[in-house]
Amino acid sequence: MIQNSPEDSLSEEYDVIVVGAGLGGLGAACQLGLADKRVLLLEKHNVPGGFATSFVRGRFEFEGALHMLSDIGSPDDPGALYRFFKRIGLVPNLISFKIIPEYYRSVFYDGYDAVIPYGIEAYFDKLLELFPREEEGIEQFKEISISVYKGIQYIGSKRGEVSQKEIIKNHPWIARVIGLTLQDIYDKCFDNKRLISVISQPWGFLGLPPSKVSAYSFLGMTMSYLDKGGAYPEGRSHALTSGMVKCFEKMGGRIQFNALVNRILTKNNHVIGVELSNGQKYFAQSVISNVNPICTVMKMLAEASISEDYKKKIYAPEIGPSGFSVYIGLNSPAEELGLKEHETFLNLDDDLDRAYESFRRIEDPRYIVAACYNNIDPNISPKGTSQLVLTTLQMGDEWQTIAPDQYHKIKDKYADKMIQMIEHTILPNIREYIEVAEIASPLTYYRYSKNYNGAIYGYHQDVLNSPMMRLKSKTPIKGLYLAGAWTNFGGGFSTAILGGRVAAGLYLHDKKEGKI
Amino acid sequence: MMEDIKKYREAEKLKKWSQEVQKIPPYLDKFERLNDRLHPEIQELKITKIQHLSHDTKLFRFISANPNKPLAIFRAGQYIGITVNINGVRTVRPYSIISSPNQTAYYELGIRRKKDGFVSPFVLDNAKIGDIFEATEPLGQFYYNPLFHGKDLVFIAGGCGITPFISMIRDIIELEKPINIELLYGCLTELDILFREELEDIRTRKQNFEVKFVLSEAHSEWGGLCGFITKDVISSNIENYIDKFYYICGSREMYQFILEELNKLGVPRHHIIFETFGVPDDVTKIMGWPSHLNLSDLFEITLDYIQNGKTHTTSFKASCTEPLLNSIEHQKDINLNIKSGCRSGVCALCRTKLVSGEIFLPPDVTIREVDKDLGYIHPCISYPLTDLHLDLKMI
Repeated sequence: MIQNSPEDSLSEEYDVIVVGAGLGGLGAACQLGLADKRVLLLEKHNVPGGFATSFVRGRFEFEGALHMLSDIGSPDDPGALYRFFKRIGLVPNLISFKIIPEYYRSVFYDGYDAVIPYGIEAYFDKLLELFPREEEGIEQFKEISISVYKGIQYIGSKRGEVSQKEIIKNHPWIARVIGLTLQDIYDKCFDNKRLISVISQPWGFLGLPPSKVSAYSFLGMTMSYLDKGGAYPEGRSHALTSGMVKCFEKMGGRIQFNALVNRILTKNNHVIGVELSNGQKYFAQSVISNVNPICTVMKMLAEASISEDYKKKIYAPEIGPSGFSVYIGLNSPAEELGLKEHETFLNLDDDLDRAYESFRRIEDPRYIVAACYNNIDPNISPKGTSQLVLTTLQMGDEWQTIAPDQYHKIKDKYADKMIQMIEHTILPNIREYIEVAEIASPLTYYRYSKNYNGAIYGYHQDVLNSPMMRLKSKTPIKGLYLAGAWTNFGGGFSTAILGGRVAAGLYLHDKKEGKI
Repeated sequence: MMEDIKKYREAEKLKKWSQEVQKIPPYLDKFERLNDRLHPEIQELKITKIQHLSHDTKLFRFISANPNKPLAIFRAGQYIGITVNINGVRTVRPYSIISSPNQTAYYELGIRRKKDGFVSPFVLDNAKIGDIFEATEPLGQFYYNPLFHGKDLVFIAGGCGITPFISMIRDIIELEKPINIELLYGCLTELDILFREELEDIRTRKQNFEVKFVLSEAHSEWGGLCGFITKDVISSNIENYIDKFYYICGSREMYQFILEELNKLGVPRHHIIFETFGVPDDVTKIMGWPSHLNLSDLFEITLDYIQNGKTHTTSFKASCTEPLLNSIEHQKDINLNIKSGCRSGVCALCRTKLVSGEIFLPPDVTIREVDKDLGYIHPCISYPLTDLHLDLKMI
């Protein structure tokens, strides 16, 4: 909060400056801390985490973004993310995780209502129970899913250094799914619309319907959730990201809040440091940018010479959706309101392409997710109350052009339609219980992250931008690496953290090889 | 299988192709325009009109000091934090906007002289037309929320607490919104009533607006309601009082009183919202204040901060009855500029790291749960109970 004047410029040498303390930036910073590097983490906001934070309204502290954290696992079978948290000292002392009992509840306007469990076997058994006539297709889908998941794990275990030949030989399904959409996989197995909807439910986590989403991304996500379960950090994602900051500091890192980086400084196409909005400069031989690539390359590096080809690479992929959320504090306990599941998807119908179309316009929502945190964490809201967060997706484009004086009206109206979906399905008299209701529109998502278009997952996670083909961390500027949802493995908590770690790993590798 | 792999090859080709045909547009952050109109980082305001509203309250009209930068859009009921510089002490106070939200050519604020106050007497005595002030974007959650507030609202105002209601009433009347408002407005005497003429005029013209003034120190010729806004005043003046939505704005002391009265009437707690302005007049009267404390005690506050590229440590004495942020701001020689807005612990702009020591936080202030464990505080509403050590290096 201290606004230093320009003459305060100080030249302090760091090995690496990480710009942005979002999940990617935090992942990178902690990874570098483990390697004993001198790291400066700069964050424009006064809290870490980017979307992974919380905020207070009245007597409620709302979760900002996290639904269910993948890759945590159990003490006996920890996921990769949990193992990383252990290495940096975040678990078991600083934070603990609650295990979410079920994957999700799936509700449709026609009254269909099913609860889908975690666990690979339990999941497919449940699908068989719900759709007994689709046994053959479900079995085939199961085989493909498991095969793809094994392939992803194999690639992960080789740290990405595997040849195509090797993949085709040992994990043919991985090679096959890279070019496929999720719908392509369904087409091989079944065409039952409701079955497809039920399996596809978490498509909002990736922002694209089966006809467009990369099969690799979707199956990878689903199988990871099924295998390792979903977890939620005690103290909300603010505890997770604040805890990561604490670990980073313990490893010798320095973090500076309220520090907006305007420029990345280069000399002969090599990074030399950054300049803050107040003119202060920091110098380092490497910068990891957790800022979206479009802003990083086109704005912060405006003075560097970057090839047209690379700029085209930055602009070519389609940009994914932003979010729209309504954070509701209810003055009644969750169990009394019948909110038993952590995550409930509400659907108008089975037309997921039509639901996706509704993200492109400010029209009635057709697909929302309602997260009720009290069942796994009774302390998430004061005694006798509950916290319900409704989220759907909206493309940023429509919101950018609305008249400023119409903004609040449009936002209120859209939120009202989302509450109507709740009234229509799981809680008819919800309004009687509302004590607090706060709305986040794409503008809000933009404002707190400065993500281009307010995009919450970065580029679309379509076939052309699935993990195998997505923009990589490495840039044409020596010493500059990209982190965050726009790059590497895409959006989502564990993937964003992992992407940041990959960026840090590339720096360490290049450093070791004497390339920077 | 080969077909699938072919698709992969096709995708790769398609990707290359999409990059080739792409034209590189100039960098344009398309959300910036909307964001600047709703959430500008800072606004510069110029006074264009000063007018007496009562013997101790003045209206200030502000326009944007920058002709290229229109004022930010706000919701009726919101406030802005105004930065004042008083003899080298830089501080911020929140003031509700009283003008209608349906135009942003100007903001009007009503500022009342607070006895022994630091900021309001200075502004009332010194601010003149043409003066320029820095201000925050519009902040606060004290506004009509169509999602659940319903159509029947009861506004309860105390003294200068009428200000956000004036903007809300103007908004509802101007746009002819189908909302009924009943205003109970408590003041000391007739002389303290603000906007009386306008409120009475609206009452005569509009079916959906009713106002009752309640004077606690009325002269004998006053024909209206007297005393405080008790449960009896509420129940006898508000029809179907139990089904309505209540907004309260006044002093911190008044909130507690009205809340108990409404509770006695059976109004559900979640149908009552408060504007939570400012620090308590007397923090020692707040529930939970440690009574053993000797109020004349001064505590040593140690600050680590960065200035001119160097880390400094300084310390000074501060009173336990003074909000920590005020005490820091009064250290003119270190000139730290800590952001703030609400001065009530709500907006979180001043969030700061406490290394050691204990503070008092009024129990009605909620801060992030893990911030308590990690030692983050909101110094605008924190009072030192021991010597303190604050780390301002990372902010």
